[in-house]
Amino acid sequence: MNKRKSKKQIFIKTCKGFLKNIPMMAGVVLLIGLLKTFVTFEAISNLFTGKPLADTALGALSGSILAGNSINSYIIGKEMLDSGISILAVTAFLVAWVTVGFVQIPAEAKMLGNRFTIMRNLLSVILSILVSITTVWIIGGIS
Amino acid sequence: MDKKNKKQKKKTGNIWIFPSLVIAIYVALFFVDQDKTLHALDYAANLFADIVPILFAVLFFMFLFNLVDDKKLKNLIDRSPKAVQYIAMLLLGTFSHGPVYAWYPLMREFREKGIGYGSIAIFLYARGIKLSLLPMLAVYFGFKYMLALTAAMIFFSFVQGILVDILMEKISKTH
Repeated sequence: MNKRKSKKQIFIKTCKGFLKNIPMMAGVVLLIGLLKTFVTFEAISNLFTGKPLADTALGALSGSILAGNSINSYIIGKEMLDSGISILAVTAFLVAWVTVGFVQIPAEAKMLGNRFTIMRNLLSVILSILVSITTVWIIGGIS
Repeated sequence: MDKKNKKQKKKTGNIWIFPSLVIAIYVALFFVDQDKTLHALDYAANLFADIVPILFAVLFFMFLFNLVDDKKLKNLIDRSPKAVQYIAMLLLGTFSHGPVYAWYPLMREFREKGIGYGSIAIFLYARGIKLSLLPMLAVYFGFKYMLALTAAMIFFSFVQGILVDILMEKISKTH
């Protein structure tokens, strides 16, 4: 009986803790809605210059700012590739899209701490460039 | 007690700052472009509806995790090698579904129970490996590209975990 009561208490405590996170998540979701609607593919592709290194960094940055379903990143990435943007930049964009979340930083910082969040996101931006270089090197795109 | 209550109230108030700012942006944009703003709101509402099942799954995992005895878990974590923790978190991250922010509450529970920052970073990074979307990635960019990208992401998720652990330890030593 005691055990069952303690489980109930744990469940209530878990629910209370969980509900506290909902406003932050709602904020993130609302912000994603704004980005998805107001930032167009043309706006993204216009940023690229044709210089591989600068474009890779831009790919990582734009992927970090944008958020949403990964399917969207594949579609945008394919269009970027078809419009002549380098595979290095596209890969950095794809990786940053799924590993960095500038939009989610307020929620992440609230739940996991400022230092960890800033460090993790900064490292992820840098690593998205390294993942891109490694991937393209493996497939033989870098001689 | 009074101090504790004040601190708690301040914490609860902080939760609303970010969503309030986003709502203020919506209100401002509504006067600039009504159609687009309503479309953004509609998109956000659909997105939120999509993640509700994930949120229930996270709540369930949090409940299960809270049932685990803190001391026993701490002992288990302390006894198991870092590499095992890293691999476990990589697998958990790879198999988890839904948006990353839905998993933050569970990660906070992990952290509070003694799981290292590096392991949490690995979980969050490995979420970038979308198993269910690998066929689509292969169709869009080629099979070889899909394999290379997945292998690179697995490798660099460990790199990130190690770096986060080293840097967080350095920071905690200096403060």
